[in-house]
Amino acid sequence: MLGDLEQVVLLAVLQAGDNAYGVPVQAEIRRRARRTLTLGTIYKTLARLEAKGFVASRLGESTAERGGRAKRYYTLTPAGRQAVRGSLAALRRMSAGLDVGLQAP
Amino acid sequence: MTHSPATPPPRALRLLERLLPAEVRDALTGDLIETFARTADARGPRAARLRFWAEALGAAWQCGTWRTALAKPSGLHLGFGLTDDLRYAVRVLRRAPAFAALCIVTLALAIGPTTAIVSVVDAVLVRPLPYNDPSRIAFVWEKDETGRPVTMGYSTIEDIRANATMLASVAAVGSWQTILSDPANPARLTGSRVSWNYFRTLGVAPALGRDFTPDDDRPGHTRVVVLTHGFWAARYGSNRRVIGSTMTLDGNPYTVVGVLPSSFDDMIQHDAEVFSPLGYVVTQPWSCRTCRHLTAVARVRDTVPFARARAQLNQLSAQLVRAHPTDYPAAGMFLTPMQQDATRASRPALLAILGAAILVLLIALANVANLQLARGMRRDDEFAVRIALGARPGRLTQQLLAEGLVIAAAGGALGLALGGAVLPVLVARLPRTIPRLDAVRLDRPVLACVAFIVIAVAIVTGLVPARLARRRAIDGAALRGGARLTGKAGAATRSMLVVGEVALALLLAASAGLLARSLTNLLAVDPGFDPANVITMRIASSGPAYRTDAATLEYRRRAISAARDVPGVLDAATSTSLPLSGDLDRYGITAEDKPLANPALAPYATGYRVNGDFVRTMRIHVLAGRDLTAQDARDSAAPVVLVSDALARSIWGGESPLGKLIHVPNARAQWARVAGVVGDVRHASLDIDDGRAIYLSEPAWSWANDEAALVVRTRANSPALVRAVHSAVAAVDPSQPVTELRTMDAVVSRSTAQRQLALVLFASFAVLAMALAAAGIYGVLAGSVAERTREIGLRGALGATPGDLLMLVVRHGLRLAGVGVVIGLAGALATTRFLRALLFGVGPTDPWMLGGAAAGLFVIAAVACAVPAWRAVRVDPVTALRE
Repeated sequence: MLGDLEQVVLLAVLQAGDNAYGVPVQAEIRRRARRTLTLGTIYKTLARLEAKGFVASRLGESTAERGGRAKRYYTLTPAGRQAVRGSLAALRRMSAGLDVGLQAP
Repeated sequence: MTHSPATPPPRALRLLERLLPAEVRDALTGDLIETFARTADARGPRAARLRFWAEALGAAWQCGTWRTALAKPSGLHLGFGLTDDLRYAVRVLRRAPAFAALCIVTLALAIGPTTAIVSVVDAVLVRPLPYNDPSRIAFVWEKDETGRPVTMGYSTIEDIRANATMLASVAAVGSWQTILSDPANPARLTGSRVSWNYFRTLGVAPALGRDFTPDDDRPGHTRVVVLTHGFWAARYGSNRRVIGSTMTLDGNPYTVVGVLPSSFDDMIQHDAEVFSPLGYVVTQPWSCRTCRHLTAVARVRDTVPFARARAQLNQLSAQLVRAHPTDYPAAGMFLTPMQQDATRASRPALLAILGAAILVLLIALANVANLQLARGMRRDDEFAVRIALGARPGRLTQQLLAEGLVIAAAGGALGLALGGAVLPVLVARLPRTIPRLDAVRLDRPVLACVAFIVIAVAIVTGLVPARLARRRAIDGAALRGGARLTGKAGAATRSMLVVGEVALALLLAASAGLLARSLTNLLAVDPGFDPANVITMRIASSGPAYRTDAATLEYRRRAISAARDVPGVLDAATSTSLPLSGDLDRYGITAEDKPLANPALAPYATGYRVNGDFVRTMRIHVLAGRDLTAQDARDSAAPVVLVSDALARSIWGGESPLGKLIHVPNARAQWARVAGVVGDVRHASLDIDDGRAIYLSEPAWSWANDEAALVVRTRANSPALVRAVHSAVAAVDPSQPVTELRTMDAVVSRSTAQRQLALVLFASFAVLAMALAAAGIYGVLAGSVAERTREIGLRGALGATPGDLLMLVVRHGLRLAGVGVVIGLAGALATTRFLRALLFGVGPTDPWMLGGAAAGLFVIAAVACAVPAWRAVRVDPVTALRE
């Protein structure tokens, strides 16, 4: 079972698609989850996810606007996708038939 | 606000650069710079700076936990970066394979034997006996006239059982050799006859079947046996249905009632196979107080200190002596803890060998520290640079410790493997008289011991160079390009280590020399007979065909003549006792003309009951009178006897014993006449000068033993002849076992087995130690020559001859050896006395041996100097000065 932070970060990486490095991931989380996470928190979570084998990373290009520093892109591994799927399915099953205002009006 | 393009706050950037782990440093900082630019565009530089600081502090806050998040979950978390250090150490050592291999092999060569010997010492001397509450179990011995412990008669044991209230139980044990009649596979079994409560006293219950009961232990009811686990497995294939079955021992049917657990190990008969009840009562003649053939085993009550139980036994002994003054040579009894008592004979040798192994370990340790130091000097630059770049000295120490740990662990693992391989060989060579050898294995205490050694080695070999590296770092000399500071301090430490190695090697060499001298002294002892070209074997006669003594004696005669008929055989005879074979059969001898007030003080003599010409076959010297003849054997009404010189002297002093009458217990006639005096024979052991003995024809004895040693003198022993004699004797009656076929030389050699083993081990340790010491001297000199190349070149240019340069190096080497030898000699004078129990005919501080060892080490040191000295001579002044 994924932790709350892990779940949010994994989904944000998926949402960011091919462009999943720190800045877009942070933006996706702010936009969709309406949460402000520091980059430190995000990278730490990604490091943990990488250690668990749920995401993989590669170094990208270094650009002038980044002061010459390379980006680090993240993608979900098959195990990561499996974990997200499992986690969401569990939420759905847990909430099925409950009236907590999730159903469409 | 209009501004020039804003830049992120530099101090926040530096904070990030310093704190973030390398894995994310670039990515995170880059992200922040990117965000900063966008925020500055959208909301102004102030907001952007604020946000940058907030993010930077947030990231810094996370830093403390970065490492755990980044590490693989299954990884090693030793903290403080030790994992990294270990990884780095492996990398560093991989780049110096020769150095690493040398260190690891040196350690393994020392740890391997240590492991094996610790295993033996642990099993034999340390681990509690496999009984219930073994510390309460003890032997009880009587005291003989010389104050030594001796076995007891049954009546005495009964008195102890009845009166010694501080003993919870007392059991009597008698030795038992019996013949298993089996048409297909007759065998001679070793065992004990024991009181019914023997196993209960030890706190051992049979694994199968039942224990003896008081009912089994009555005269006439003793035909039951309990088997040891090993014998049960070997003879009956661990068949559980053996319980209740019958086995024929000495021609009588015995019912198997129980099998002992596999952990059981008998301390009285290590190779025991069968146990049967004793079935004694005090009214039997063989239960008398002077019939001292039983060992008493007792369990001291839980709350009673041994000293109090001992006091009670001494009190009881005093009463017994008062009540039966002619039955006891002296008052007093011994109560000795069983484990201590059973291992007394082997303890000095085992501890000495353990000590030798530890010395080798110390030498190896010094050598590895030495190698590390030499290497540390060459790494001066690496350390200096790292310190200049900001590495704290503690960090360097930790890394050197990690390197030490990697080397020590590899050496320990290899040593353990070596020890595991050596252990079975060592155990096989240990004399069977050492108890508990079956329990020897490499197990947890041994592993703990190796782990301890590994950690100690890591600390020593890591800290010594680290301390020097640190000192150097403070001076920072290496970076300034000055003379290597480690140079001085390091060389001094290395010289000290070499001196220590030489001293320890000398100690080992001197000890090995003393042991070798003892063994040659011992083998030079005249045993009183000529063991060359003599074959011996044990023949037994049991079963219905040998119910009478006449049949047994007839079997002996036929065996003798069968052996004599083999071509190449000169003579053959039998005797109930065989010198140096471990037999013990002694009788108190009194002379008619020298009556004793207390017969218990009669001198004890080994009794040889012989058939055929034993004295001539063994080439025992006849000093006066005559040898026994065939006529003596037939004439049992007026028996004659031979006495040994030592016995004659202890009874008659200088008088001639010829024609005197002596009383021999258990002889058919009350008195036997002395017909001759023969030379003393070493019976129990080559190092015990106790040659008192009597020889008489077996028919003159009250009974014929059911077994005897057959000795056969040949023109020249050869394996083919040994086989021929064996098959000729075995053919006399194929249903009777012929066992222990050996040459008499082998019997003599086996009686010195423990010394031989100690010598072999000490000698190999000494060789290893000297090789390591030589390597140490070589290393130090080679290093010093390499460092002094310029100086040597200068000396050469200024006119020093090759001889001068040679002496320069050799003097240095010999000075190290000299100091080491002096310290080693002092050490030897102080410690070789621990070897005293193993020495024979040589003192522990024998000047020849110590001097020889010192000279040997000097020679080895000189050889170790040779290559560096040669290199010094070959230094070309021009090249050296130009460098």
